[in-house]
Amino acid sequence: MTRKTTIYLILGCTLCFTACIKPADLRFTGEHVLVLNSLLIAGSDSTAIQLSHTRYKSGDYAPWPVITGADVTLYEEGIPVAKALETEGVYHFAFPIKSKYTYKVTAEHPRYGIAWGETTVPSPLSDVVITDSAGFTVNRWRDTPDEKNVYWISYLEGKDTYYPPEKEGESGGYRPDYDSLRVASSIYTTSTLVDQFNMVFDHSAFIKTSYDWFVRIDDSGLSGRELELAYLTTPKLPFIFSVDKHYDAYLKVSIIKPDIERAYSDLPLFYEPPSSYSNIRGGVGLVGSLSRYQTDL
Amino acid sequence: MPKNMYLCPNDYHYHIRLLFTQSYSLFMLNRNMCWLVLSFMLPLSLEAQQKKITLSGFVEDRLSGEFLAGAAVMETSLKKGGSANKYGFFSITLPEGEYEFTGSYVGYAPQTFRVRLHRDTTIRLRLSTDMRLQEVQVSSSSSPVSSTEIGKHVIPIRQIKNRPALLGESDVLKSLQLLPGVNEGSGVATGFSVRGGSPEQTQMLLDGIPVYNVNHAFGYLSVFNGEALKDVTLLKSGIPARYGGRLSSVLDITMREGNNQRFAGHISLSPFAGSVTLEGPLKKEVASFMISARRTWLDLPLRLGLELSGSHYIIAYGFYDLNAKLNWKISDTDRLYVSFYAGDDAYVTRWEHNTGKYRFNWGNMTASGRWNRVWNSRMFSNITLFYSRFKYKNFYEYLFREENLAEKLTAYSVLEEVALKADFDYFPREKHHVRYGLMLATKYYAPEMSYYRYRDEDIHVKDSTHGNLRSAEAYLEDDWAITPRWKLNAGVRVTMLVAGKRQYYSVEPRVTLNHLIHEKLSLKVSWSRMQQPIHLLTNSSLAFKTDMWVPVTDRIKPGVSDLFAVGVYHQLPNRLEFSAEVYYNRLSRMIRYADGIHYIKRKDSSWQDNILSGKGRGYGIDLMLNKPFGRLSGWLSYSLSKSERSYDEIREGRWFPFEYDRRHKLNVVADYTLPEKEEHRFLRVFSLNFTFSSGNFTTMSEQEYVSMEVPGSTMLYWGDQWGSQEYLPMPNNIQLPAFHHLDIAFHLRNKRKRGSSWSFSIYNVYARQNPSFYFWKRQERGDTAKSHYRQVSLTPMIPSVSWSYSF
Repeated sequence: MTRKTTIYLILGCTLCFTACIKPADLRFTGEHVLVLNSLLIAGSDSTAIQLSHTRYKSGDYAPWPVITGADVTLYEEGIPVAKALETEGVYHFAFPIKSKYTYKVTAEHPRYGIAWGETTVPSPLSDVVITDSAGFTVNRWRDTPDEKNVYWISYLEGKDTYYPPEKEGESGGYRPDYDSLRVASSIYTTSTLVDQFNMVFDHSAFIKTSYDWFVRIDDSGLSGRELELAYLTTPKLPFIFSVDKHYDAYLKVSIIKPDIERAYSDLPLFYEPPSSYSNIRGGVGLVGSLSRYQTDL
Repeated sequence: MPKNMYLCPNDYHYHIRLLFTQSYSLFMLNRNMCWLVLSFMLPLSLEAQQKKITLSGFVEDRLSGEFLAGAAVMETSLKKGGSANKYGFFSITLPEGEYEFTGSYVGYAPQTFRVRLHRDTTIRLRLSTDMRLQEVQVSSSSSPVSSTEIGKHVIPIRQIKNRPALLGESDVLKSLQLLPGVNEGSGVATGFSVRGGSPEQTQMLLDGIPVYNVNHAFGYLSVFNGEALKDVTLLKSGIPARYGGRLSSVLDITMREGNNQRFAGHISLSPFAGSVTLEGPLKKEVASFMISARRTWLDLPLRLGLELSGSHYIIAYGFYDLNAKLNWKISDTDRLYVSFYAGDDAYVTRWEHNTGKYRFNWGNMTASGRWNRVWNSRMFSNITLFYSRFKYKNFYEYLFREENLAEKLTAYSVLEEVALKADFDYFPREKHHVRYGLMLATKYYAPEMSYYRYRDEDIHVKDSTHGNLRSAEAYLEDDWAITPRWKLNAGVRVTMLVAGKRQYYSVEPRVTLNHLIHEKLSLKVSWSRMQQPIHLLTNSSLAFKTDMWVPVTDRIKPGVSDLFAVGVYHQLPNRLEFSAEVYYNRLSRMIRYADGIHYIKRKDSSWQDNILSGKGRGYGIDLMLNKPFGRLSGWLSYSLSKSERSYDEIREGRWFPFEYDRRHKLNVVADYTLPEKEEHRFLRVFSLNFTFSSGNFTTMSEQEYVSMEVPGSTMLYWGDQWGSQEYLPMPNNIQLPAFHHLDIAFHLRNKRKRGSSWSFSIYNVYARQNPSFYFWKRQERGDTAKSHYRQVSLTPMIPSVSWSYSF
């Protein structure tokens, strides 16, 4: 084989096998925008506002940016009712949040402009009874008539910590370790009311249908009725949320998103970034609201 | 034949009115049998219109007996004549006298003959082809300058086979993507886009039957097997009234009928796939058949490698397609056809000694029966009954051997269509060619169904809207030579859709006007209003992009478009043709999934609950310099275009780029036939493609933002998993890098009836790394981590050899 032939052969093989993976040459031109997150809870006297801006994904990880010096205002039924107080980039309203009212949160910053979001706070949960029955937790409540409601139900689980007797002669005991509490990873129920978007089949379990993190119940066709949901286990901290439409959409996306990301990780052929839900104009994030019932059995 | 005494035989406008009156009545009665009666009645009523002398007949291939659609038959001195219809039928009406006619067709030697017309005359015009003529002396079937058609491309199958192709497998859609205004999708999500429209906006017809999925191998190959095809016509604008149901364009592909003279076959092998085609007479000159099967063997090396490595995990991908056609000439005036197509793709994984299996398959099946009849020298009809089905299915199964139990999960989407249609060609006067027809169709759809089964328990996991969409359509179209310099194609299509309890009516005018400035220069203007009763939603929630065809419902309205085009056509010296077309397509009721919620439906909720409806627009200019004949043939084309969408719910309705938007596109296509000698066994052809296009638009996130806290977040875990959200300012927010490649091929075509042919090709000669797909990668180094997008290019320089044998 001549030298010239060898060179051509090597060159040909090199070109043939250049099906390659390389850093993408993508021309992103986007600028940072305001991130406004705020969850208004019915009956709460204080509301936190998370104000930030978007950050680039590529490169080294950095802490979430904090925005100071913004003018953050709360409107109730279109009337400004509170200015947020800032403490090192953390904003708070001191204002009681009422059910059935519509609130708007605006954030204005000299560099990033104005971003705002709006929410209507759901009615309070009524006639709630949560009982423990033969290894099941039974949740009962009444749906609010003439109002579109979506309920998110789950409980907190965690370790109990042993505490020693404080005085001699007394016995010690177990208390919940609040630092270890986590929202339940799976909820086992056979209820037919539940939205099956996050349902998982567990053929080996006593109840074969479980739900990741929460169960969601939409009141379509159930308006004004007494509702009941029983799930396996008797947790210490069960809760029921009635959420507005924005927070509802956000929670659904957030719960399903890890599954989507895992699927893309296994098969990146059709990678598509899983989009989130935002109701913020002029920026991104969420202004949502809820009414809640939470207890310690 | 009985004559209808109540009609004035020469007033064909009366017939038109009658047609619409009767078609409406028929639909209201919903009696399909009445429809057949109408088909009979109209031609009979028209029989008496024979005041001038008519020459009619069929144009055929001399060797195979197949009809030549679009062949031109022209009176030589008067330059009067026309083109044969899809079934090779032509009709020319002239005053009594002796005339000289010329019949011609692309790839065939022109044939001149003299006829003395003193009474209506029927002929069979048989054109010959040989290898020398095909490459060097071919002549045009009809001039793009003089016809009323605008934005039309007819690509001979031979030219498609000459195109250098990926892994040597020449392909119809890939060849069409070299035309101006026709684009591919991005990477593996390959689609077929005409002038910025989405793939489903092109009506894909195989023997007149809609085909819903046109991709094999995720778009690297189309489902149309070139060995089974006769001709391919693409209409980008000026869509005649006889076509309906899509918003942007029509791709009309006709399958071969089969050689009715002798038994023949063709075997083709490429690194991608192999195909076998058999054809021949069942009874010479009376009945013939054609059957062609193709299968990929991409799966074989993959399976072999996994088996040899002892893997318990098997991955396989494969596809096949099968085309078959029978035709039977009952008499000189009647002919029956039966066509069949089936094709399927499948991706399968198995693991743990066949205890687990996942299968994802998708494909089409079509079947049709067709009756052609020549009623008299001016009337031709085609009545078709067809069935078409698209289905995809996900299937997961796991066996518990010890318990002898199985767990199964099935999810599928299906669209089925059954239709009866009748098309008529009527030549009432020498300056008119009237087409009219009716179609009754019902579509059954079940877009998203899924079931879970364990032990003997069935759980219906997800359901949604499913049912039938019924439609009745009628059209009328006239090709009218108003004066020698002005020609008009005007028509209207009337549609009624019945979706649940709601009915939609539409009237779709279609007009194309051609002004012949001089013999070699024309200006054409067209307007087509079109309606689309079904939509395509692409769902990627399973990581596979799945096509979900959804119909018009009582909530989702049909899409509507207004397609305007202005074109200049110029015949230049040296057989060069130049065309320039400016177009604007205005689209409304474009649907898409709402961002962020398309994969979070609940049981028994419908896809309709998560849909946005908006508008679109596509505009641009296509330039083309074409040399269709000669030793060196090909074209040079350039397109400048823009395609956008707008939805009130996205960025307050501001326009954003559509994913098939390609700003610039340049194509160079050339075939060069080397000089040949009689003693040469092969005809030698060198082919070249070069394509450059701006990168298309896609959705990728460059930035992220912090997640919203959840209630009691001091107690609840809402850590890294849900810590950040992707920031996507709008759909299709980023333009990908430019896409270009150069492909070459050298063909050795056997010149005899029997023998081998070879093709040597190199795809992407200079190994351009065009992106096939992207993924997001996080790299950790010590305490720090970096994340970035990575690009995968699957099609570097790929040489290939393919072989075929004809007998």
